[in-house]
Order: sequence, then C-alpha cells, then structure tokens
Amino acid sequence: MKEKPPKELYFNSYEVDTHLTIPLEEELTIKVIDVMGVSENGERTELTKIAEKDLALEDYLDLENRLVKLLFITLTDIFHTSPKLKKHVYRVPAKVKEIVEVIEVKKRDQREKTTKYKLTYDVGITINLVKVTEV
Amino acid sequence: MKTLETSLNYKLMLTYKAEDFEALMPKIKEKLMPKPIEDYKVFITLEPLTREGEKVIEYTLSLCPECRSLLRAVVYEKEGKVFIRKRCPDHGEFEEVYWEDSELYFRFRKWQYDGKGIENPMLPTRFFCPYNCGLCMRHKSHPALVNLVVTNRCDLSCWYCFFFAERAGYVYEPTLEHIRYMIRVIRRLEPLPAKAIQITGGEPLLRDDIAEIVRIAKEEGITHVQVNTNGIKLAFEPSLATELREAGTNVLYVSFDGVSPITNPKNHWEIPYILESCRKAHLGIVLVPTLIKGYNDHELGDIIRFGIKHMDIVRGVNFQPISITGRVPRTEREALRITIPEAIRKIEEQTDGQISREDWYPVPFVVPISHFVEAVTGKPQISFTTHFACGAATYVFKDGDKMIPITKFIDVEFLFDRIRRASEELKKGANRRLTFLKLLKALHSSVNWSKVPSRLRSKRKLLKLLFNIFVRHDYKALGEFHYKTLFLGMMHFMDLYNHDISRVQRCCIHYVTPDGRLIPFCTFNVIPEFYRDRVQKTFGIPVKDWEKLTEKRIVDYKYKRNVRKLVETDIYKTCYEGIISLSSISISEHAMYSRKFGVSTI
Repeated sequence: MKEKPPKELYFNSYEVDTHLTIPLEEELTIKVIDVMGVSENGERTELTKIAEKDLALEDYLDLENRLVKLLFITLTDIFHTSPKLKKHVYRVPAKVKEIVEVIEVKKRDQREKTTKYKLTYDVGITINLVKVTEV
Repeated sequence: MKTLETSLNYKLMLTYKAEDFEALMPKIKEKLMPKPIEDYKVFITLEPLTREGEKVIEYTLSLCPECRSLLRAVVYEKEGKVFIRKRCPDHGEFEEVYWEDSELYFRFRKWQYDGKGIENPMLPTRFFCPYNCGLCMRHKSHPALVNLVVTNRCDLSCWYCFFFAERAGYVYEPTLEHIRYMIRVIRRLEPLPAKAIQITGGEPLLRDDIAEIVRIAKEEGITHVQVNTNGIKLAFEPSLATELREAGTNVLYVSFDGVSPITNPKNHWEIPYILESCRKAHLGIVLVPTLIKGYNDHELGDIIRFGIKHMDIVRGVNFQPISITGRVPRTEREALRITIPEAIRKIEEQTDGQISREDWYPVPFVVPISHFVEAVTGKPQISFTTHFACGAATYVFKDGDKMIPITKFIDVEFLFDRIRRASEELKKGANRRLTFLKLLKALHSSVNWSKVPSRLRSKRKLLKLLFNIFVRHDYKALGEFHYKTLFLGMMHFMDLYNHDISRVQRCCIHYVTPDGRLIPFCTFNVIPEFYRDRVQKTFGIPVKDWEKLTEKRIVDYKYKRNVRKLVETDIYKTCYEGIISLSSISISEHAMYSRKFGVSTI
C-alpha cells in the first residue's frame, strides 16, 4: 500500500487594526514583526510568506484564540468597530517543530503604549499556541 | 465503571455516585454542544445598516431571533434612546430598544470593569460565542451566583411559562448525588471557586429533600444559598421555612409582581403568610418583581413601599424588566418592553422623587471594593464585573415616613474613587496603616451628616459599619447593613431581540448543568433549544414514566387556591394595609383574577 504524503502545513499570522470601546476606549494595532520556524535540533529558519489574504470564517476563531490568550480580548471586543484584519500565510517546512512569532501590540488612549510579544506555537498535526511572553 | 451507552439510563442514573457523574459527564458534554450548520450559521462579516439621524455607539455581535445565527449588530443612539439593530441574510432586519435613556447609558458606561475570567476553562474554544458555552476562556467574569435547577415540576401553571414539566413533556430532577457533582464542578473554578448558589426550578420547594440539597451545598463549601420560589408552600407549611433556615439557607428569592391581585395573581394571597412563616424562621426574603409595561409598571413605588413596610424580613427588591420569549411581533414587543432606565424613571415618579435617577448605579460600580480587598489581602476576590447595561442598584434607608437612598447622604462617587486610588497605592507598596487612615478620612468626608437618616446619626457607628463594608469587605458587616436597609436592584436579562454577546461574555450569573457545564444566564434561557431544554430533556424522563416510577401524579402537586380563606384573616389584611386598599375587591373578583392567571380556586 502506498503511504500518504504528509499534509502540508501553513501558519497564519494576523494583523489587526481596530478600536476597543469597553471598558476603555482605545486604538489597538497588532503588527507582525518576525515569523521563525525552529527544527527539532534547534535550527532556526525564517518562514516564507506565500500569501496575504482576508480572513476566512475559521480564521476568526483562530485569531480570537490568540487574542484571548494574548490580551484577554475577544472577537466581540474587536468587532466593536469595523476592524481592519489581514492574514499572512506562511508555508511550514516538514522539519519545523516549533514556530516563534514576534508581534508588536500598540494601544493608544490618551497615551500610547507599545509592547512586543513572543508567541510560541507547537507544530504537530495542527499548530497550537502554547506560550506568550513579553519581549 | 458505567459506560456512555448506559449512562443516560434514568433508572441507572438514580444509583450513581457523584464520582460516577465525574467520570461520565465529559463525553456527554461533548455530545450536547450546539453544532455548526446543524444548529446555527455565522454571518459576522455582514455589517448592519445605519440610517440618517442615528449615532453609532458601537458594533457588537448578536443572534437572529428566527434562526439563532450569529450576526453583527449595531448599537446606536437616536432621540435620547439607545437601540440595537442586526440583519440576518435569511430573515431580514431586527431592531429593538436597548436602553430607553441614552444619558443614563453613558453615565453607567463609565463604570465598566472587566474581570479576570476563568483560569481553568471547562471547554476548549472551538466554536463561536455563544455556541461554546460551558465556560470557555473567552468569559471575562467569574460567577457571582450560580443557578442550580433541582426540578422542573411546579405547583403553578402560569400561562406564559413553557418550562414546567407538563408543558415540557418530561420531568427533570437530578438526584442528590448528581447535585453534589454539579456543586463540586463550580467549586473547582479558578482563581475563585463559586461561593453563592441559587436553588431554582420549576418550584424547588416541591422536592421533599430540599433542605438536604441546601445542606449538601453548605457541605461542599458554598457560603451563600438562596432559594428561588413562588413561596406558596411556605404559606401553609411554616415549619418548612424553619427547616430551610436551619439547613443553611441565607435568603429566599420570592416572586412578587405587584401589590394587588391584578398585578400579582401568582402569589398575592399567599404573600402575607409567606412573610409570617419567614418571620418565625428568621429567614430573609428578596422580592422579585418581573416588570411588564402596561401591566405592573404603575406599582413600582408601591412594591418598594411594601418592601419598606416589611423591612424586618424583606431584605431587598430585585426588579427584573421583562425578557421577551418566543416569536413576538415588533408592535407587541414595544407594548411590553421596559428597560432599566424607564423602570428607574417610573420609580422616581412613583416615590415623589425620593428615589431618583441619580441614586442608581450600575452593578460593576462596586468593583473597586473587590480590587481594594485584593490589594490588601493579596487574594483574588469575587467582583461584579458584569456588563454595565445588565443591572443597577441602590440602597434605601427608612427614616420615619421617608425613604432615603444611601447616595443622598454619601458621595459614593467620591468614596469609590478614593477606594480605587487606595488600591492603586497599595499595589505600589504604600504603607497600609496610612492608606487605611486616609480612607477613613475619605469615608468621613464623603458623608453629608445633615442628610443622614436619624437612626444612623451616631457617627462612630455609621463610620464603623461603612469602614467594615467598604474597606474590610466584611460579610457580617454587610449582613448588618442589609438588616438596616432595603436593597433595590434591577437585573435585565436579555432575549433574542436585544441580545448582545458583549454582555454574555461579562455575565456573572450562570447555570450549572447536569453534564458539568456553566452557562451564562442569557444563553441558557435565551437559546434554550441549545442549552436549557436540550440538557434537561437529555437528563429528564417522560412525565408518564416518572409517574410510574415514583407512583406519584404530577397533577396532584398543582395548587388550588382557597381565596375566601386566605383573604379573611388579619394577617392578609394588615400585610397590605397602608399600601393598597383591597376592601373593594369581592371574593368572586379575587377568584376570577386567580383563575384568569391559571390557578384554579376552591
């Protein structure tokens, strides 16, 4: 019997530009700084971006999962205005076992605050966010 | 070990221990979740239209009242009111009044605080909110009160209710071990285990083991148990009130829709006897009127006066503006709909301005107290981080013939701002003693002593009481405060027309389900086909089978009212004296009001 080739994996990185309303009125932008793949032996490779797209329905859930873990905000929160959302799609080579994404979160009310976060994802049959750390 | 296949066999379930439910429920939970496509669709990219003259406040997510699909909605201001509008591609546009006073809406909005949510969510986030309830990590508040349905049997058959056993077609009544399992589920929540439950139904007092249920709750670590009841059984069995109190019940939530038999045909005639039973048992009562425009909204002032008259046993009045269930045309909805600001306005009108619009604050207004106690103790505290539009409250003192809201003699905005500042200072490492002293000073300057009710004028006493409540967050002091005042609350539960997911995600009042989920009030009851009815039917038994199994008949529990006997006593007459004149109502009129509502008379 012929062995099935492994399913190609893709990683989505999201950019967000929105305005939160409650509990605080603030502008929120999320930008992607860097997306790296890490192989089992620790070798780091920059992932190749293959497309920039609008979000499909399932992407909203994926994005929300990250937003909740990152900033404890939900889809409803970012939908309090008409958010500008963009998806960057990266191909994940078979040897990559971990993805490290660095993003920049800018919040602005009367003051502006910029924070960088490192998001670590486990790569298996699916890609799961496992760790969020402030850089 | 029981298998999944046998797990929902009703007879077998009667033999299960709490541990058996523990092992089985995760698989059942999975089966009961709402399913995409099969149950609902998602249209979140479709923006609702706005029109000229409308000022957009914000967008949100909501549900289609016809197909329960997830939609985007717009919350907007027009002509001094706040509305919500959504558009379903299959069923068109729906528009509903959200709040009847935009000025009050914006005043309340200032005091929104978000909670920390649940650290150990009970479900992964796989579906859109509100189809993933149970709770998941999206939820922003922890439960302040958890409802536990112990039966769907009821001794009444109210015309508007679809929930009781005969209409539902099944009996839902979890065993004591099943109840123990559910309480254990809510006690496992992190960072804060649930501490308060409301035992509800149906009519929970129909269960012979109701006191045992209260005892189980206390055994499992619940500190506040309230029982939600129509109270009728207590009118005739005073010993049951004592039994409930001795078992650990803290307070009863008793339905009370008005002071007259026309507005309160549910339990108008029994209320005097219920109060008497509770007096004897020292069991406090919160009156719970459901407000319906054109039906009982002219009696709001009288309801409060009734509460004040019986303040020795009535701890509060918690008004609940109507939540419209089922498919109701817009004109009919407009005729029935009343929202929090309109109820507040009518209370001001009907109390001659004694309780005014300015005296009400949104539920999350008190969050700074929890933050302060957290800063002092380093331990997480229950905080009412519910959405600002969900509820309002105030406290009223009796001063002779007058009613004096607490806000008339305490500058609560000043005080709470100082409490907020104090917790910020403490977090930064400020000296505790100094911070407490500053707060005591703030407490003193927040009081307008010339307006303090006469029996509270002892400065030391009042300051000590307020210090213990606001600064120490002392449960006993809070209890003492409740004995001196009447709590006035408002909680507007949503329906499909005004549903706002932003409110759902901040809900502090939940239901624990027999499969071990925790569902926000306004998803449990607003989409019952996905939550309440689905889960209770699954764990229920057809009425006929229940009757065979228990050798009881559902109809035998139905209440028949002896109006003549009830209205003839002094207990009845004095109870409403000074509030409403009932002498002109004949016995046959009394009986007619009862029958019209659905309670037969003898």
